[in-house]
Parts: sequence; C-alpha cells; structure tokens
Amino acid sequence: MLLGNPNVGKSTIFNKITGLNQKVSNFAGSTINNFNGYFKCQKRLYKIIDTPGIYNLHNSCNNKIFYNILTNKDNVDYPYIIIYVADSSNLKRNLFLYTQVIDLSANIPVVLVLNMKDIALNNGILIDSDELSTQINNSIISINSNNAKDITKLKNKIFYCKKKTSFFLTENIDNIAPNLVSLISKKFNINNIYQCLYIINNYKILFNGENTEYINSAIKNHKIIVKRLQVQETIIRYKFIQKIIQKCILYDNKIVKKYYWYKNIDKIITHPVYGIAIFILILIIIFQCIFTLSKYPTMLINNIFSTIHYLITNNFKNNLIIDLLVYGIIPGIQNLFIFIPQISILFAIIYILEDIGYISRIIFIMDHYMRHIGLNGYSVIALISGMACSVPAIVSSRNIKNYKERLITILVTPLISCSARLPIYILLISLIIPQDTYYYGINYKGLLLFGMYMLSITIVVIYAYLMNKVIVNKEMSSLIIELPKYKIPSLYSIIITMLNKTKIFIIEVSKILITTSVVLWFLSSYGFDYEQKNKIYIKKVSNIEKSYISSLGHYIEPYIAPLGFDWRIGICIISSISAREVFVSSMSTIYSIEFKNDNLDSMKKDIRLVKNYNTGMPLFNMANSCSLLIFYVFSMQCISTLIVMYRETENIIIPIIYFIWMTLQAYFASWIVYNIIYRYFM
Amino acid sequence: MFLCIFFYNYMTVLDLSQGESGIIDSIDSAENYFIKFRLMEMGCLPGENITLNYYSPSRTSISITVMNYQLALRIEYAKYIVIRS
Repeated sequence: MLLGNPNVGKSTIFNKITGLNQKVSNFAGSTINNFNGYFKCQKRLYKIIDTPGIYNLHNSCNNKIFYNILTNKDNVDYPYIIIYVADSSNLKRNLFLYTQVIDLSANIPVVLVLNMKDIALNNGILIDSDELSTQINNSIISINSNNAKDITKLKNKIFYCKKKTSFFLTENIDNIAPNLVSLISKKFNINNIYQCLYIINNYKILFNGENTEYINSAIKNHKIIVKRLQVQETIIRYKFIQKIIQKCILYDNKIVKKYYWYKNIDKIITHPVYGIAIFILILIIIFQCIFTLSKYPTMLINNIFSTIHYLITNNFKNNLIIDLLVYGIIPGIQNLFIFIPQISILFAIIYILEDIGYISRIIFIMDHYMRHIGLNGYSVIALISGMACSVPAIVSSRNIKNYKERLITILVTPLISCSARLPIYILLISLIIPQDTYYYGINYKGLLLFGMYMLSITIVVIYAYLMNKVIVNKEMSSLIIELPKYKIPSLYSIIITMLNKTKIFIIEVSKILITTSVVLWFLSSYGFDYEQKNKIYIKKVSNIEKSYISSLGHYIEPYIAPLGFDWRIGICIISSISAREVFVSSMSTIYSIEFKNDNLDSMKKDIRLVKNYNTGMPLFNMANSCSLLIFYVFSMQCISTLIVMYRETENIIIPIIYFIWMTLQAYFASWIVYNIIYRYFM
Repeated sequence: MFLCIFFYNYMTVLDLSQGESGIIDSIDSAENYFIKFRLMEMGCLPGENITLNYYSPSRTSISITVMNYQLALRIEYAKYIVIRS
C-alpha cells in the first residue's frame, strides 16, 4: 500500500512499478475507488494499492477507510507492507504523517521512501540516511522516481523488508489524556494507545449508536476538548521530528541552485489580468486539441471497424448470431471506440496540468471568485475533473470541509459537460456544421464545443449563486493548500496514466453499452405479429416501423414532438437515461438496422439523410439539432452520478428531486431553443 | 484590553511586506482549535521561518513559504499567525 502527502510523486512511483497492470476497485466495505496494480519481484507477485494523498490521519476525507485498513487484520486490504513516500526536500512535514501511520499500524512493516532526492540536493539539503534509519528504527530508501534503476532498488527493498515488531515511535504521545485513553482501551479491548487516542478524535465517524454516546459522555466527564487534543498531538509530534531532523539533515547553502525562475512564473500566473487570461487560453487550447489531435486516430478506428464489418458480412451466412453481431454489437462498440481518442486526450491534458502544478494555482486564483457564488477554491478541482467524469469529481469534493459549500459543489458538478456528453456534442456539432471550416486557423467546431463548455460553466455559476442565496449555513469555510514546485511531467507517466484511465473508462462504459445495444437490436429487429392472433407476438420484421421499438416510440412521440424530435430520438433519449454516452450508440444501432447498409463509417452522412416520416423533411435540421444539444447540456442522465450523489449526501431525496428537476428543465430549455430557431432562423 | 494589543506590538504575517521573512511566535486563534490544528499540521509552528510571497489577484488569499515549501491560505486564516517582533 502506497501512502504519503499530496504532491510527493506517489502516482509516478505507482505508474513506474506497475506499468499497465492497473485496475480500479473499491476499498472493502466502501464505495471509494482506489487504483491498484500488480508487479512481480523475484518470482513473487505483489498487489499494490495507490491511495489519495493526505496530510494527516485525522481530518482526511477518507479517515474511516484508513483506520479500518491499518488496524483491522481481517480486512481484505490489510497491507503486508506500507510504502510511505516522502518528499526529501520537505522531510519535516512529510514525517508528521509518517509518525502517525507508524503509531497507528502497530504490526505492519513500513518502508520509508525518500523521493525526489535530486531536488533536495539542488536545494542544498543533505540527508544522512543511515542516521535517519537508526533514529526511526526503520528501513529507508532514497530514490528519484524518474530513474529506472531506483525503481528496481525499491522493488528489492520491498522484497527484503522484515516483519516489524510492535513498537511505538513518538515519545510522550501517551501523556495526552491518559485517563480517557485507559477507559477507551478497556472498553474496546485495544492495546495500542494511539489507536485509542485516534478513536477519541474520530469517534463520530468510526462508530455509531451506543458507542458514540458512550465516548461522548466519557469525553464530557473528563472535560476534554477533542480539537485541543489534536493540537497537543501535533506539537508533540513536531517536537519529536525536530529532534530527528537536527541529527540527520545538513543544510549546505553553497550548492543551492537558485530557483528564482518559478517565482517569476508565479507572478505572471497569479497576476489579476494575465493570470485569468492564461486560464481561459489554456481552456481554449484544450478544446482545440481535442478536435484536431483526435482526427486521424478516429479515422483509423473507423476504417478498422468497417473492415471488420465487411469481412463478417461477406464471409458468413446470414443467421441470427451474425445479425446480432453486425447490427447490434459492432455499431455499439464502434461508437464507443470512435470517441476514445478525444477522451484520452482530455485525460492526458488534465493529468499534465495537475502534474505541472498548475491546478493548485488555479485554486489559489479562483478561490475569491468561487466564494462569491458559494463555492470553495477546491470546487474548481471538482469542476475541472468533472469535465472528464462527474463521479470522481463528486468524490473529490470531500476535500471541502464546509457542508454548504460541499453540497453546492456536489449539486453543480454534474452540470459541467462531462466526457460522456462529448460524443453527443461532437455528433450533433458535426450535424450543425457539416464541413470543417476554419477562420484564421480556428476550427469552428472546436469553437462551438468551447461555447458548449462555456454555456455549462455559466449555468453552474447561475445555479451556485441561487443555491448560495437559498441554503443557510454559518460553518466556517477554509482553504489551505500547498502550491507545489513546478516540475516537468515525465512522458512515460503521462502515457501510462492516459492508457490506464482510458482502459478503465472503456471497461466501465462497455458493460452498459453492449447490453443496451443488444436490447435495442432485439426490440428494433422484432415486432408484434398481428396476423396470427393469440400467439406469441414475435416476428422478425423487415421494416423498423413495424418493430416493438417503433410501437414504443410512437407512444412517447407526442410528448417530445414540441422539441422537434421524432420517436427515434425519443428512444435514444430513453435508452440513455442510464448513461448518456449510450445515445450515440443507440442512434447507430437503430439506424444501421433501418438502412441495412454495409458501410458503417458513414453514419454521420446517414443521419443527415434520415427523413421525418410526417413532414418528409430531413430529420435533423438546425433547430432540433440545437434543441437536442441543449437538452443534453441540462439533462441529468447518468445513474452512477445519482448513486454517488446519494452516497455522498446520505440523503435519498436529493438525487430524486435533482433528477426530476433537471429533466423538466432540460425539456423546457430545449423547447425554448427549438421554437426560437424554428420561428426566426428557418 | 484593546490598548494592550497595541502596546504589545502585535504583528501578524499580513504586516510583512511582499518577500519579507519573519519567525512565527504563536497561532493566536483563541478557542478555534480547528484552525490552529490545520495551520500547525501544515507546518506553521512556533519558531519556524515564514516568508510572505505574494497576494492572490483578488488580495483575499496569500502565498507563504514555511518549512521550505509554498502554502496558500486565506487572509482570515493568515491573520492568526503571529510574528515575533
């Protein structure tokens, strides 16, 4: 298990050790995702878990999970070894969490990894590893995570790591509230003093019911202020660390390389005018990249799929399975893969911004503006990662301690256009603007896409502002954030993160996507057999107008007709209630069945040819494409987001109301847009 | 009481000019132990060197250097960090 402060290079080490062998799973008994991977060393297979960076065990957002993993031997994730990653250039603060971890996890061996030794050396910090090792009575390895040899050293270190005998690191820690600790230790039968202290500090989160009341009354009887204990603990720990540091760290001012350049960069980035201009410029560049860089990979994927399609239809006879494959599954998968280049580019860019250290500067700059609309600087992280997927974004809002700010962040994050909306936007934008048109080198499509994101951001601002007025809470809001040193991210790390995140995205999405494609294929290929009465109503139909799906679709058509949609779009919208990205694949499944054509890559052309049965006009025109676009900006069509929202707020009513409200709002917004464009521009 | 503060030469980080350094005397957040804990945990301990780097564009947050790294925090928090005169 990897543990450590934020920005110490944990994920770089994780990527280097595991390479592509990464997976996402939940911590036992919780819904919080973790990245885990596998690596082999001397014929032994290790599973390694990456954890989010924290500064201390008390107020971290996941403290219940850490407590359960570190103290409960029966936990599935109970680690064999903890790899504690520390930043050598700032050892003092890094050792704080280290002492907490050592004290809490009594029997787990811990390897202290001193990362970024080159940066420390450039700052004139010399660490005497042997002295440090004897001082804290533990094995130490000093590495530079960008160096391949060091990673092998680390692996060997893990292999030869000895079992730790239970010991207590920090002196005097047992002097804090001794009476209360002995009471708790008897009650829960725990020998570890620090564990008892930890329970006193976090009893509200760790336990519920009787135990909470018991501890609560005990604390009152002993007249103890819990927060004060934490302050005392901090002072004791830092005193202890100071003693160690004095013995084993030397400062040599002669070899300090001057790092003034990053202060100059900071001045520009945090400048009132340039800073915000740079922020907007970076956003524009991101969207231009998404469109231009992904052009050729998308074409390649398209060609591969049409070749597969061609081979299958020509070499096999037409039977049920082939029919299912060609018209049900392949269009579904193809439309997932077409958007992979765009999504992986977005993942890569977000990772690069984070690794350079720009994201925390954004928080610093934006905090003031965010507070005006009832949000916190940290909400910017949630909103930016919400561009990839709102599920991890909502989870990341746990960094916000203030309940009101957190609730507003959770509620507005799904409004940010996530990567699942991206395929829909791209499809619809290419319907609205058919040709690639450039204006002084700027792609119009990219500009419109940027506009869509700007629209969603505007909506977020309006909503947050309104909610800020409505919800009343006087809890104090806080913002303390580390501004990490600028560093150049390694290409290897970028590629590995991009590939892994994309892989996970594909696995998650394909489950829903393939099922819906198959169901849709069945519904649209088979229909009621009206000629044989009182028998099973299944018959293969040649025309989609006679299928189940059409009968279903015609039921809902009157309700969506005001928006300019016909029943097929209605079906696609309904099928995408579980997940938005299904929309595009449902479209292609329905249309590939309808046309029975062999050339799948011309789906966009096909869609333009589709006629509305009532009017005979092309189905997609300016008005209803725009209204569909607006519909997807507003609508809340993602089951997993609603589930996460329920788990994070612990209130079932919030997601239900939210879903109904968003759907109604999407309906009216697209109705207005459709009518305006239809009346005045067509 | 009010005058006492003046005579005592009560100085916080915010009284430093940009780029100036000082030594932390205490975290004076009275009964608010949460702020005290948060600041101490991030390295704002009595006796540590502290440098005020710059203000944010809106001047509601500051960037400081403690324990050899950069930290950003809001003015409401920074005003509790008392500097040795």
